Amino acid sequence: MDYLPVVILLVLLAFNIQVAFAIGIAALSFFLLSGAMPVQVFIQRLIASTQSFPLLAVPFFILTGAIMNEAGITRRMLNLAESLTGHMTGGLAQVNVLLSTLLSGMSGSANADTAVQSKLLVPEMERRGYDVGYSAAVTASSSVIAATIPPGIGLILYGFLGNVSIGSLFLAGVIPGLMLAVLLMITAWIIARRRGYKPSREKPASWAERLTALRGAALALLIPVGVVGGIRFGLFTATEAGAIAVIYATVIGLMYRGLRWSSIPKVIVETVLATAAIMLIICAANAFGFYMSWVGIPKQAAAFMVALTDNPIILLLLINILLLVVGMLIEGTALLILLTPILVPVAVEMGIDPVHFGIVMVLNLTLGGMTPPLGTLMFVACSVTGVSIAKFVREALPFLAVLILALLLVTYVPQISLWLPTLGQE
Amino acid sequence: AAEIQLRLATVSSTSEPIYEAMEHFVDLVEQKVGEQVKITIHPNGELGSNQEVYEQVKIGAPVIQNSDPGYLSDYTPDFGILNGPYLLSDPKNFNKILESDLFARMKDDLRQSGNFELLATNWLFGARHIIADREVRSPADMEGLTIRVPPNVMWIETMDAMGGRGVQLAWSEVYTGLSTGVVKAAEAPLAALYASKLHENAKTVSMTGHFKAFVGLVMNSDLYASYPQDVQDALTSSAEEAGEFMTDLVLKSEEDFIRKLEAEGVTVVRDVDEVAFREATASVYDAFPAWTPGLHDEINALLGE
Amino acid sequence: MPAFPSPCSIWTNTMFRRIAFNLDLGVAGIALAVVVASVSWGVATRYIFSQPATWTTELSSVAFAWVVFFGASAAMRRGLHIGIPILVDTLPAPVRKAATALAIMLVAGFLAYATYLAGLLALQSFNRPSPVLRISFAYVYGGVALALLLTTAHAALQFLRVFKSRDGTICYFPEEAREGE
Ligand code: NA
Ligand code: NA
Repeated sequence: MDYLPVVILLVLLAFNIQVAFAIGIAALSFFLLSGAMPVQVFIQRLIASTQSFPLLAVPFFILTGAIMNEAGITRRMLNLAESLTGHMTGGLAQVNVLLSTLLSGMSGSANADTAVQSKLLVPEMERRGYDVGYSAAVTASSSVIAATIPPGIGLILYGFLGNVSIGSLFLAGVIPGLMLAVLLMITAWIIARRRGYKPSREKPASWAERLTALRGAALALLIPVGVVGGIRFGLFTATEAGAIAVIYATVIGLMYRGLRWSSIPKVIVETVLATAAIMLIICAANAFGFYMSWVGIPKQAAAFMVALTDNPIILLLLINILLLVVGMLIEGTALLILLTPILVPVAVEMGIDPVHFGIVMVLNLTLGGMTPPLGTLMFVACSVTGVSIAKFVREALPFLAVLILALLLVTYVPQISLWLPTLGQE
Repeated sequence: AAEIQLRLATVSSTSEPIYEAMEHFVDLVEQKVGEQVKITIHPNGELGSNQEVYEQVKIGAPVIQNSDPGYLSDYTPDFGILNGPYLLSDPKNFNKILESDLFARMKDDLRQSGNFELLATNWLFGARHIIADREVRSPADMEGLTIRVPPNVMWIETMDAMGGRGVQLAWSEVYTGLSTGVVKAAEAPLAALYASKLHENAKTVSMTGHFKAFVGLVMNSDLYASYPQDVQDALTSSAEEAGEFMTDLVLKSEEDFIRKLEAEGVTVVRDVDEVAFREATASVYDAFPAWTPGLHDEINALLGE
Repeated sequence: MPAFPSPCSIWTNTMFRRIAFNLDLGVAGIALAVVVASVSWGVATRYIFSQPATWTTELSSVAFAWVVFFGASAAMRRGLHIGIPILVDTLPAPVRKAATALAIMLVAGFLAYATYLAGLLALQSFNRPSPVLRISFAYVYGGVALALLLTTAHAALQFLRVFKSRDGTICYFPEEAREGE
């Protein structure tokens, strides 16, 4: 009886009921069937997440990304990336990775990053003789950087659900994200060299050209610098950084003349819809979380995991394997929402820093988007570029291997995540 | 199975004295009425924020909430005064208020306005002190000090009157906020301060003791009235006894926490000018027009102060 | 319009529909602007004034509830709430249609019941004040009740359309608008 809502949830998900409603109906079934309390408490638990100040960062960073896109900042960043890495072997693949890194400071969603660059870069790569499957794989794998480098919606959700500082998580994501960028560029280079993919330009851009490209993108590049710096030096919290970024992006968007006053409603509509789709799942999951706490599921799960092993190294390995396997079947954000409240107490009990653990979880669940049968990054990349899933998977394998290598590094070298947030503390 | 199943909710963590007191309460109830009542504790805000759990209790959920006068004042404004700054010079005096007719009237009003049954209000939560990047001895030391406040008018008014600048921050952001400097100070009982490791980021605790609030337990009054007499008695008497247990625990543990903090390199400032702060915060008691006129005088008369 | 109207055109383009079905997006958009302005003002006052504003956190929370639930209604109409179609896609068309119709009926029923519960809670929470501004919480729950009502309407309409369709395809906003115009 205690587990009936879990069964209901799985059945509803299997029958293609929208994730938010499936979780909501399963949660409501607990309030109806247990008779434990007035049913309208369900509504209170459903709405509770919207009353959290830290979660406001979700719409803020979605809005910032939408404004930057509308204002043509993405193009300016592309020019910059091209001038810096276009001359390397597999030039456009290098540009692809670098562009994700440059935009990651404004974008919090790997899916959005994949969608934009599948449209923007993959056709050009194809024209220059790159295999389209390879191009899609580079695009999807490099978008994992966008979720790791702050701001990232996964980091915000983890911080909220695990009661961990989002500011610390943001700082912790910077170095793992940059490390991913380097590893992916090396991988792209090795494959490009074997296949003879040419640079996108004959010789390196001159420093004058690079300076011009940099000048074109400089104001936009101040956003990630301002977000990370502003949090690090205590000017504002992670959430407030989001609001500031929105206003700053609007101002420079209007200055660059890419953004018009008349296009602001369109940007707002886009943001409202994306925010609502994510937040409704979180709201429903919060109601479901109430049911889980009421019957004690997190405690049981924690006891089970602690009984398995008391070694944090093995525990982290087990959790990583669990997340990778389940992550193949369930969408990453939904999984993050369901598992964070269960896993964080276990990690803390084992002496694992919850900030470090957050980076591990977010990285793991984001790269889960690369794998079949249910990988959102794969779906987005394949549907935009028209690559078959089989081909995508074949081309994605080396990148996936490197992402998993990075995951292991981040898992077992906590300093990669924790160095920046603890910098300056004794 | 037990006939009556109750949940005990708090937003505090398991490492704070209140959790120990709650476990004690559960044991006491079980000793008195045995298997017929089963109570499960939900710490860390598992069932929701304070305001949300009050709402659940009000509409009839079988939840006993860790009550705080500040939140009770949403339903009966006069409760707010029990949270006032420097209300008590000695915590032991609080009993004088609890035994008064005035308090009995307030409890009745709470039953009417919010459907709340107050099981006990004698759980000393611990005096709240300031942790900051500097020593705070008098209001002058707080000049311009940005200090974290919860979304609560009493806190905002008090920090303002003490000379600080209140900045609202979620509790989960306080640790990082102190580390980066979004706020330079926070305030909490020593147990909560220590449990959340705030002293890793700010090295001075000043024993301002600006709030010495008592908390307690509250549940739905209709639900309470529906229980057999022996269960009602067991709940109220156990709540009272657990309150005495907690008050002792908190008073005894304060010195322990000071030692622990000092051992970890924290400077503890004991010679705070309480008189100056008391005078500075006197105006706070005028900031709540919803209170019964003359309430503050009546309370002072009860306390003999 | 064809003699047998396509399922997409059921109840499109009436005046009521135009107003009711764009209300959600308008409310959510304005609420989003309020959230951005309010939080920014909170930061600004920390650097401009001697006492930082303490009401901004709260106003933004109320507005955020409206962004999410009115936004969710608009997203419903556009089919933006994702599901996992792997299993249903393997079913033969008639079975798929039945499964889809049943699923939407369940969702519509859930939403209708949630609307009722939210309305009930709004009445019961009338004297729960927000901590600083002392705004009644009925504004939060009441707003959500209205948003859920609009979402229920979208779901009900989608049910009718699936029911009339040949293979259980759902029409979402862009096609629906084209049919109507
Ligand atoms: Na990012
Ligand atoms: Na990319």
